[in-house]
Amino acid sequence: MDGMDGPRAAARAETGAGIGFAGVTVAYGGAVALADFTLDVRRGEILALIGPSGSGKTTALRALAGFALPVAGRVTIAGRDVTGLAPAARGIGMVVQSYALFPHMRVAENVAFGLAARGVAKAEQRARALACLRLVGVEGLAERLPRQLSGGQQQRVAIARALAIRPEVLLLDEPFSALDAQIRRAMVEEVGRLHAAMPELTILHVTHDQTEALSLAHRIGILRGGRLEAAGESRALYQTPPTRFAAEFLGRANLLPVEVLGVENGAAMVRFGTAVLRARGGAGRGRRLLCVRPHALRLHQAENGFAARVDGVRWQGETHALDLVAGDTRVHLTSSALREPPRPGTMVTVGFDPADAPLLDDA
Amino acid sequence: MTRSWRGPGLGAPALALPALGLLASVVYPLALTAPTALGGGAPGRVFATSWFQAAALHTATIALAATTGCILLALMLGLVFAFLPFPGAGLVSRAIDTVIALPTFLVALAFTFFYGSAGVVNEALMALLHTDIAPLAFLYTKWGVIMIEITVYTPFVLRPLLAAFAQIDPAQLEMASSLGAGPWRIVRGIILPAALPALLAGGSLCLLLTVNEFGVLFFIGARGVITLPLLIYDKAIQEFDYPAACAVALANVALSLSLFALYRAVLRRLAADADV
Ligand SMILES: Nc1ncnc2c1ncn2[C@@H]1O[C@H](COP(=O)(O)OP(=O)(O)O)[C@@H](O)[C@H]1O
Ligand SMILES: [Mg+2]
Repeated sequence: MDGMDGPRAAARAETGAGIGFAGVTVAYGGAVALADFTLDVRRGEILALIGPSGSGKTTALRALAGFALPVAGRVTIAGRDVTGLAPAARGIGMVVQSYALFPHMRVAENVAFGLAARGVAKAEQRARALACLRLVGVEGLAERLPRQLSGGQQQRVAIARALAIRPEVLLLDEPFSALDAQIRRAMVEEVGRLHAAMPELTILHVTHDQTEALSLAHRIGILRGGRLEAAGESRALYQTPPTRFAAEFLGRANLLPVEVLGVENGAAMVRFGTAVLRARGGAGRGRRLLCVRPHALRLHQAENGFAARVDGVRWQGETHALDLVAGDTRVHLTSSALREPPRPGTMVTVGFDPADAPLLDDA
Repeated sequence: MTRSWRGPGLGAPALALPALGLLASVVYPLALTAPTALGGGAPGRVFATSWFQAAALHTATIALAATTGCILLALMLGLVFAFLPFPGAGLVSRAIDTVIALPTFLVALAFTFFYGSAGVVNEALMALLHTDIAPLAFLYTKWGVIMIEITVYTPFVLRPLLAAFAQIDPAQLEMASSLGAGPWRIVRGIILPAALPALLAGGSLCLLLTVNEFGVLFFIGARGVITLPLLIYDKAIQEFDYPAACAVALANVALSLSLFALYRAVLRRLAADADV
């Protein structure tokens, strides 16, 4: 990584190899925590790894960092096979939820630790540590001890410490989950800003917060029970989740049981209750699930719509959340705050754009 | 009501009773030794003798050497037990704990059995070398005493050390190696600072116990290795020179207390440094 050299770096960032997992399997005792995990992160890309607790996210990071030894498969950094390399030789920057700052060292010493380990001269250590602290906006705290800092400040120092060694790869393991919502949002923006300043830095960001993943990552991988359930460009994965699990894990989804009737003008024709609706592409017949996000449903739209009874109405400041029942399926709808929200018990029509409604297998 | 709750008013009498008992049974007889020790110019007479000075020197050097040995051995064992777990480590650690429960002279007996002039090791060496003179005689020197004391007192350092090691967040160690640090830098930069208070606490306990050690020295009877506690015994029980015994006891207590005070001061200084 040689700093911020604009378009050239961005161009290179497109092509180079960042991180590679090839058939990586990690087992603790007999229990497989990560199974045949294959995923590539391009150089300069931010990839978010999400999944329920225990799905193997941390294990994947630890395999890359060298703290979990795969029983099968290879991990690569910048095209280099590092599977058998000691953690110290991998040159990875890492930030974890507990910050793991060294409690007996001042902030500047914490940040300079990796430089000292690399034999960088004392004066340069200090200069680079201060520069990294400035980068994350806490240069004024250089002489403090970690326990004299707030959670957000500690996490900034942890990021500065990870970046000080100028790593090719930055691993973030739920780094913001111990912070309160407002600071968390600020930290997510901070990471976005840092990446804009270092476009060649490859970031693997483990989180269970899908909003964090969606707002920061170029691509998202979803883990489920140690296996990669789905991976793809963030927006595409959100808009057309390939599986039911992906649809429900990444954002909220209405999954309507439908019967596929055929294809007409490139749109799938499906029956939902008594209504015939158009859905996004796809071949095949039989029982499927129609996935439509709560905010993709339009209230009072008859076009490509169905009838539903209003069960509950919740005002949430900027939005209204409606709980609807269509047949025996519960449907959630969110819209910008309504002037005259429908009353519970009344019937309404809701519709959607076929492009916003992919079909999924019921698995 | 800004003051904290102080209990149902039982505090003072409940504390006074044991304090009085302590005063009557321990402090009073101890206080009696002071005039005995100081009477008739005994201290001046005793402290000027070469046998007192030799004993004081032996006491200090044996205690310091044994304590240093305990700290180093406990560090080595502690690092292995805590960070390089091997099968059976728990069992070994528990076995080491039981040493705390043993009377010190029993350990001395065990050493005599192994390394004594008629011990297992010497018998084997004598058979091997076709000689009638035991080749290993270190047990009856200062070094034998130091070795036994290290064996006996290392658990007193190891225990608090392992407790301190257990408090270290493993993520810190992983973070350090991720940043490129080798094992030595991790031990020096992260593990040792975290363990320093425990090391000092265990070390000060060790120092006190070794300064006052009697059983091991008495049992081994090393030639020419007379410490202050042994000297007290000699003067009081063998020579009936009570004023001299009391004077030596006074010196022994003073040495203990000043070593303890020194350690407390160092400890407080370190704690203050960590608090800045
Ligand atoms: N050190 C370990 N020893 C045994 N099992 C572990 C260990 N670390 C993780 N696991 C198990 O491996 C699985 C994946 O864990 P992890 O990667 O931490 O999940 P996540 O980070 O997604 O919550 C879990 O079932 C967990 O219980
Ligand atoms: Mg985890």
